[in-house]
Amino acid sequence: MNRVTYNGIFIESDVPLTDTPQWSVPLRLVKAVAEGEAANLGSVSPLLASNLETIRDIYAAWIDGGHKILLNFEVYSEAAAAARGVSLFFSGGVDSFYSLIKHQDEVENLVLIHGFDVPLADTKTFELAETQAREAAHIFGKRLIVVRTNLHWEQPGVPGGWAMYHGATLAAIAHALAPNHGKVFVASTSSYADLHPWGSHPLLDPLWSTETVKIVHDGGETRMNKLRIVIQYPEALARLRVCWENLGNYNCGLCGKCIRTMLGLRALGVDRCAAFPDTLTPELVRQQELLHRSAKVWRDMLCPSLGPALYAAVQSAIHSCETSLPPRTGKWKREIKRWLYAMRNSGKALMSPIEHSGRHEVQP
Amino acid sequence: MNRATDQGIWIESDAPLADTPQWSIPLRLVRAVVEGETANLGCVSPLLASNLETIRDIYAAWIPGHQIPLSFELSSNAAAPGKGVSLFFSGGVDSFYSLIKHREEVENLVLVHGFDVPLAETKTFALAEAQARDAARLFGKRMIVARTNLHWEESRMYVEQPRIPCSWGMYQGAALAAVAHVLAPCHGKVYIASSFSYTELHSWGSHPLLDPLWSTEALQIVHDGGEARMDKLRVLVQYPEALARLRVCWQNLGNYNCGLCEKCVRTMLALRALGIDHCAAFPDTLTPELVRQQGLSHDSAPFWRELPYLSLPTAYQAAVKSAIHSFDVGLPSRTGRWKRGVKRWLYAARNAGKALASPIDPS
Repeated sequence: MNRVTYNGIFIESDVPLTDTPQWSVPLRLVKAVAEGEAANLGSVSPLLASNLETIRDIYAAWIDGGHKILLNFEVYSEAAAAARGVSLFFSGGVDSFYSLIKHQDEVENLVLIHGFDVPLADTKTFELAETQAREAAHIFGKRLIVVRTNLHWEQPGVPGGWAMYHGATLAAIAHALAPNHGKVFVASTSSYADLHPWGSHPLLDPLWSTETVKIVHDGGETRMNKLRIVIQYPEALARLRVCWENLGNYNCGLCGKCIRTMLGLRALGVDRCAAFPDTLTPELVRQQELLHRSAKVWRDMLCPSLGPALYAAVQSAIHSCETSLPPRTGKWKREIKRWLYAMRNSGKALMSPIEHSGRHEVQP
Repeated sequence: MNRATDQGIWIESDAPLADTPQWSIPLRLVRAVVEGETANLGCVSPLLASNLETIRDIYAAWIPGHQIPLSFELSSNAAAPGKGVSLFFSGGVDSFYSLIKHREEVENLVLVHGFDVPLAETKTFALAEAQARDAARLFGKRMIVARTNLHWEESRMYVEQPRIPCSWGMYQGAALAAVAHVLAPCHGKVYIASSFSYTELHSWGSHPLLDPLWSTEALQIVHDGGEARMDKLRVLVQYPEALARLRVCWQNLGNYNCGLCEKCVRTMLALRALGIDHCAAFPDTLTPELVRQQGLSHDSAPFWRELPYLSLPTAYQAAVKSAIHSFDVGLPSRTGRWKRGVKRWLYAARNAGKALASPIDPS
C-alpha cells in the first residue's frame, strides 16, 4: 500500500503514487480562498501556474465570503514526461457509467474512491460497491484502481461544503495518481443547460491540468440522455449505484436520488432494474421535496411511459416545488398546511419591504 | 472600405480583413445547431476543430438545438499567431473596465455598428463613435470600426421561422467570434469583456466556457474577467474621463443614455451608491419613483442585488428593495397609483390560486 500525506490528509492505494507534493495544490488553494490567507503553493507546473489566478477568482466568487488571496508559488522549469494511460473517476453512478461507455475505447483505468460518498469506517457498504465496480471493470476490460482517503472527512470549513470542495479533491487524487495516467476524465454532474456554481464544473476542472496530467470534464449531456445510453447495457444497469445513504443495501430505493433514477428508468421503459428495490409508488414520488435546481431534471422525465399515476405524481412534486408549497402527502393535515402556506406567501408578496417614509427608517 | 461576405451576411471595415472564409464558421455552426441540419464548415484550423464538438454540445443544450453532425476538413498549414491585441469596445462598464485592466496590453478598440445600434440609426452611432474615439485617444489606442448586418439579418431569419428560438443573447458570442476572425490581420489576441460575474453564470452566448473555444492557432479569444459589475464600477469611478463617456443604454432614443430604461437606472443607482451624484454621461432623471417602477428580469436582477444599497439615500434604499421584492414575488412593480395597487392584489390572489390548484391529479 502506497501513501501520500499532507497536513493530516492521506491518500493511499496499491498503485504507484506521485513523489512530488504538487498533488496537494488544489487543496491548499481552496482552503486559502475560504480562509482569506495567502496561499503558499510551493512548486507548481507552468501550465497549472498560468491558470491559478482564474481558479482563485472563480472560487472566490463561488464560495460565500471567499477572498481573492495572494498566491505564492514558484514555477518549476523541468517539465516531467507525461505517463501513458487514461483514467476515469468511477463511483458506479449514471454519470460514471455513461462516461465509461462513451470513452470505452480510450479509458484504461477506473478509479474508485473509498472515503468520499462511503465513509472509511463503513467497510461493508464499500465492499459491495467495490465488488460491483470490479465486475463492471472486468466486463469492460478495464483495470480498477481503488483509492482510500480521509479527504472528505478532514475537509476544511469551506462554505458550500463538499459540493464546492470535491472538484479540488478529485484534482488532488488525479495528481496523486500521476504515475498511472496522462489524462483523467471527470464525469459531468449537470448538463450544459443547467450549470451552477459547483466544485466540479466544465469551467473549473480542466484548469487543474498540468503538463503531465490532463483533467477533462466529460460531457454535459442531460441525465436522461445519459440513462438512454446506459439502459442499452444491461450489465451496467444491474450495477448502478446512485444512493448516498449508506444504509448497508446497495441503493436504498427511498431517497431522492434513488427515486429520481428509478423514475428515469421507468420513463425509458425499464420497469424492473436489479440494482434497485421495488419501492416506487406514486405516493412516494408525490411526497418528494425537490430543490429548485432539480425541478428541471424532473421535468425531463415527464413522459407517458410512466403511466398516468406516476406521471401525475411527478407533476405534483414539480408543481409543489415551483409554487413553494410543501409537497402533497394525501393527508388532510398537509392540505391545510398548503392552504396556510399559500395565504402566507401571497400576504408576504403584497407586503412590500420598508415602504414607509424616511423618518421611521431604521438603519440595519 | 474592405468587406467580407458569406450567405448574405457582410462585415466591413477600414481595417484589413481576412481573405479566408474561416471567419464565418461560428455563424454557420450556430445556424446548423438551430436548424438541425449538418454543418458544412469547410476548412477549419486544428485547434478550433478539436473544440467544435464541445461548442456544438453547449449550443445544442442552451438554445436548445440539435447535436448535428459536423462536416469539415482540417487545414494543414497552421497560420502563425498574429500580432496585436484588441478589445471589443461598446463603451459600457464591462468594456471600459477591461480596457483599464489591460491598458498596457490592448492596442486596438473594436466598435461594431450593427450590434446594439441598428445600421439605419446613424445618429446614435455617430454619438457612440465620437465618444469611443475620444476614449481611444485618451488611452492611446487605435480605434477599429466595423459595420455588419449580422444582428439584424440573423434576427430576421429567426423571425421568419419563429419555431427557432435563438435570441441575440445566445447568438452574440458567435457573432463576436466571427468579427474577431474577420479582423484577423489586425490582431493575435482579442478580449471579450465578460457580461456576468462568475457567480451569475447562465446560458448566454458570450460565456467563459464558450468564448475561448472559438480560438485558432492564429487568434486567441479571451473572455475577460468575471468580476461583479459593482467591483468593475468601483475601478471605473477612479477614471472620470472614462465615466463621462460611459454608454450603457440600448434604447437608441437619439440621446446617449436615455436615463429611463432599467439599464440606465441601475447604472445611475450604482454610481450614486459609490458617491457619484452626477455623471455627465447620464441625464438627471433618477428619482425613487422611477427606481420603484422598474420591472426586473432574471438577467438583470443579479445586478440589482449586488447594489450596495445601504450607501444610497434612504428613499432610494426603499425603492431598490421594493423593485427587487416585486420581482422576487412575481408581482408587477409599484407605481404609487391605486390601479397598480389593485392589480398587485389580483396578481397575488391569482398566484395563490394557481399554487393551490394542483395539476391534473387522477387519484
